[in-house]
Amino acid sequence: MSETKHEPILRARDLTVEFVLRQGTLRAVEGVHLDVFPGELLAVVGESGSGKSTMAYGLINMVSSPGRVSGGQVLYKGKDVLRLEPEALRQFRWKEVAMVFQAAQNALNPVMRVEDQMVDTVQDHEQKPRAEVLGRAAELLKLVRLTPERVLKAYPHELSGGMRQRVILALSLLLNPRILLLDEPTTALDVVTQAYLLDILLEIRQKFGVAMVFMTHDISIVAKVAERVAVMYAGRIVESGPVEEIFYRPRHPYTWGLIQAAPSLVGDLSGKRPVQGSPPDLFHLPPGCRFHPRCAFASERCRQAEPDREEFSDGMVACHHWQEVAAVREGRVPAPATTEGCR
Amino acid sequence: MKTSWRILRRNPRALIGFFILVGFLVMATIGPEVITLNLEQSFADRFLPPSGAHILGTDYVGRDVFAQIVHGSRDVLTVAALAAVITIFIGVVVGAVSGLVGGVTDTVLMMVVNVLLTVPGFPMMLIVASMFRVTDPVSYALLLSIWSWGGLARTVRSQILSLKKREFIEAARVLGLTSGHIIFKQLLPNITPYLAINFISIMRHAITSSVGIMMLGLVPFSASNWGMMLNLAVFQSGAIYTPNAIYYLLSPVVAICLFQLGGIYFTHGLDEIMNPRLRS
Amino acid sequence: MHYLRRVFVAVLTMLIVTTLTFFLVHSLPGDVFQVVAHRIAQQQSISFEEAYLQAKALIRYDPDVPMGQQFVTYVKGLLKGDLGTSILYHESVNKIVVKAVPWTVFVLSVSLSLAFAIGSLLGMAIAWKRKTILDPIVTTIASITDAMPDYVVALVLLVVFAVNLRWFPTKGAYDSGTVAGFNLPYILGVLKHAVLPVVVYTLQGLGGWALLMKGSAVSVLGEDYIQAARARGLKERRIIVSYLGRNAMLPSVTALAMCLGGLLGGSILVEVIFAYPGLGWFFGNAVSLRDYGLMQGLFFLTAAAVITANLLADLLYSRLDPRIRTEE
Repeated sequence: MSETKHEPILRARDLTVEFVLRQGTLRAVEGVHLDVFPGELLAVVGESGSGKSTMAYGLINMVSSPGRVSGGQVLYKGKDVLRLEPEALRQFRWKEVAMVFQAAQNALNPVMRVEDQMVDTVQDHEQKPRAEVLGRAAELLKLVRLTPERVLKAYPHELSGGMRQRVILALSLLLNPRILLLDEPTTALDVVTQAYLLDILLEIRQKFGVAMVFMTHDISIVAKVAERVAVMYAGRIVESGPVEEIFYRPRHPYTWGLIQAAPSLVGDLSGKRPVQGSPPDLFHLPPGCRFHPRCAFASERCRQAEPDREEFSDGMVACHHWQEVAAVREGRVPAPATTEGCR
Repeated sequence: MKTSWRILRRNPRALIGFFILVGFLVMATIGPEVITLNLEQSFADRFLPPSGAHILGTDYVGRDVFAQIVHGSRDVLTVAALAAVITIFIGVVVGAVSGLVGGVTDTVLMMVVNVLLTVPGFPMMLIVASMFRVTDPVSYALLLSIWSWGGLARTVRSQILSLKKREFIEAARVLGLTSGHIIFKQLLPNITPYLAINFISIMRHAITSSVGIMMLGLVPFSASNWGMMLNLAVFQSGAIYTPNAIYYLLSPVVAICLFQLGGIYFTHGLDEIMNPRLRS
Repeated sequence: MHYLRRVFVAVLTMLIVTTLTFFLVHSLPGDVFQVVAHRIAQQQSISFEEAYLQAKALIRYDPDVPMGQQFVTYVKGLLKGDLGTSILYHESVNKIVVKAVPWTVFVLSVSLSLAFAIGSLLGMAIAWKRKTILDPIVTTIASITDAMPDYVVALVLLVVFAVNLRWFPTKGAYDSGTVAGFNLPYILGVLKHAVLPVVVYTLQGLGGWALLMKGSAVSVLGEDYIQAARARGLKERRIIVSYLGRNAMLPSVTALAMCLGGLLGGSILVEVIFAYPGLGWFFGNAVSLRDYGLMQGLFFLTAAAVITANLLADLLYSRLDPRIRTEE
């Protein structure tokens, strides 16, 4: 099947996920537009609580109670995932889009051997003989640098946490999905193992051409592997674009703050400043733009109205003052006084 | 006290349970004084259906059933309450000694508990009842308790063991207080709710067992005791086969079930009172 | 290694039970012997001295022989599998056991299977589909059966269904006219007589199994691997059976194995009420008629069965849960 380089295979439009709790209704994801192009490496960056994981669950319609998808659509090959019949949804999951959860240690059934879980996954989608499935599983395990002979017959608790995570990765590729969603794949790993895992992921992408969507809060990962970046804040996507644009010419104050805050191994740390303040309480969002209390560029307009999306050929930004940000960055205008920061 | 009442009110089942239990308490304490038990036998009046004179009808020799239930409640509840007291006492003491002293004593006592918990208790109680004449409520209560303190002892012991491990014991030791003293002071508040709830549960089991033992005719020390009533009704008077005798037969049954139900419902309420985490 | 320790504890418990039973009988008040001896003398028209000798043999207690020696004889007898002799029936307890065991085991195993199967399925159903009408119904039934002792349920069923409605017989294990064997009248009779006891036991157990399974299933459903299984697009049936089921049933299966020990006990009162000639009925009679020989033998048997079953349950659980196996 031919996929042109410029047509996204997955389009989320206006995706909104809310949680109905006793204290009130919380919108963890609001009005999110996201495109995933074939074979690309897209990173979704944001602080914890920004809604990245929830959005990922929303994309495969797996938001569980008390949360629910309350609006929008997720178009894949012309069909809206959020409105698929249960059987069609089941088939869609894993075969078209697979997801590797955060802390995947417990994603495996403790009383079944790894090989049986591999076979289960395939046989519930297509009729393939067991031997064939195991053959492919062995190949994939080798790809993630595990020894099939040792791992296939093992029970999950006999493997280390890191090994289990790689098993899940291999499992996710079994049906040759077009998109792989990875929720914080490198969190809780040390730098060396991180690099190792990223290596494996790049190899996978090269071999299978699968698109990968990383959810992460770690800017350095993004810098290393991403091709496109989407920045999330308090449930909204505030900026997106190619990785160089995001890093060298950020348009949104938050993005700029993130880039500036990231320490590097070389260079001067004195200019580094974290983004001041803390993420908003999702039950009591600030009026207007959600970021304005922490923003150096904030004005009365920001307090009154949420910014519209400004689209470009290669991305977007949602900020009233994005042109000012660009100007300050390029040195044309002096930097504004920093805000007091929040609580 | 007020919070307890409030919680009870919100939980209708617990409230029902409470009133049932109170009802039985009244029946057992005041009832026999108010209602006289006429033990005269009058064959002509056997198995009369309920009427104004006999609220629950009569038994196989014409005696009023309701009066028997009321008088029997005193025996049944006394034995059950005594059994609960004895069981709790033995359980707490053994558990505490086992936990505090440790070592060989602990191993031996836990071995005993293990036996108690594995080997079926009811047959054991039957054997003992058949061998030794039980003639008064206290010895009966003792009989019922001998096999039932095991679980309680284990719980008390594990509470003590976990308390022993806590840091404040070290701190208190530095201050010169004996660990036994501290543990005791810490233990009681933790354990009291559990014991209160257990009291009623043990009473329930004691009633079940005591009535069961009596049904086999093994402890005939008072004819109006519910267990004896069942024994007479089922095995000795052919009440099963007489249609009108159904009131005689089922009265003790209903009495037992009511108490059990009341106990279960009320303990759920107690659970909530004692354990704030369970409140919705 | 782990196995050895458990076996050791089981054997030790068995020893304690043996000693206990031995000393229990030896605390029989002295005049009991006289009573038994008198009874035998009367029944068999023999002299009191001969009857006394018989009594000694029956209860296996010779007050004239030192205690230690008696204990040894007793234990030797047990090891040979001799459970003693019944005073009332004048036959070996073993023979009585052989006659009674099939009935008790039959009724109890049918009930246990029914209660376990129906209860567990209900429990899983409630956990899987929350907020259905099934939940309060099952919980209410469970609390009611908790409140009513089994003999009460038995009584009520007996009076209602056997005496008044006459749907089922009131006593025995089979129709008196039929001959034992694989013939239809006999088998039908057996089934008819078994219905009420089975219903009693099943009702008693149902609630417990359902709640046990429900609790276990609810906690398994909260685990990550269930979510992950859904994300993998696994068929719902497979998730329920292999992912939820196989994990949720672990506590239930252990409990089941523990219950197997109870199979050899039977409920004494239920069997007595239904006049069902199983182990419970014989024990109940032995107790009310003071047949110490039978009492002793049956008690030992039941205790041994329970202890063995617990041991097996322990060992079984470690086989089922691979996580425990590796810890040894």
